[in-house]
Amino acid sequence: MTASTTPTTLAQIQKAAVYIEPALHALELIQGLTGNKDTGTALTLIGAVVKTLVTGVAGSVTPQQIIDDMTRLTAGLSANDAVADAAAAAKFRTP
Amino acid sequence: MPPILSRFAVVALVLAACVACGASQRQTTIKAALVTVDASRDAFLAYDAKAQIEIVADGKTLDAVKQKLDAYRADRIRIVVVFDAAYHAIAAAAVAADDPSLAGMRAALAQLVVALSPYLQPNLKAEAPP
Repeated sequence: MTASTTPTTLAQIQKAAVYIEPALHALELIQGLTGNKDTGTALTLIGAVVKTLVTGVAGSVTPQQIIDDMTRLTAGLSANDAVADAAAAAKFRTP
Repeated sequence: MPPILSRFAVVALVLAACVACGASQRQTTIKAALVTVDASRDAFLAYDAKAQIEIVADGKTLDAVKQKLDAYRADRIRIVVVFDAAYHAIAAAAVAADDPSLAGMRAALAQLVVALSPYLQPNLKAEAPP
């Protein structure tokens, strides 16, 4: 490594760390929540995290984007509720 | 009941929000916080789906299943509230340009970690670094 390339390399490493560190912490949460057997899900999610950080970090976060992200939580929970209710009804349906 | 969240995990998420604390990198910090909360949301949704199906699978009667689902969903509201707080804090930091809003965002993320800690698999929690 030459002296002229060192600053660039260091800058690249620092830039990468900005993306990787939050991704690793997100991975910790994801793995903790989904469990060991759901490694595939965890890897898929962490892939999305890294991709979003790398491709989208330059743009500003808008309030509308945050509202949309928050709405996905409510919508997802409602969908899960519907699936569970349907599963319960099917399990105990009398022939 | 809830296992205590490892010290490292708490520090880790706060670091995630602090990773780019320089004024010129404010947007990067906010974006990283949003992506982290989004990822946590998706993970929680995956957990929620699995937890509810397990309640149905384990239930002996329809009434018992309904009662357990109601209890689970009532308890789940605590998590939803913390997610909402985190998203609102990120929105405040994105709109404002002051330090308190950024500090509020970091605090909200830390609260999210604490709220989610009972749901973390004990064997997957990070240990405190040496």
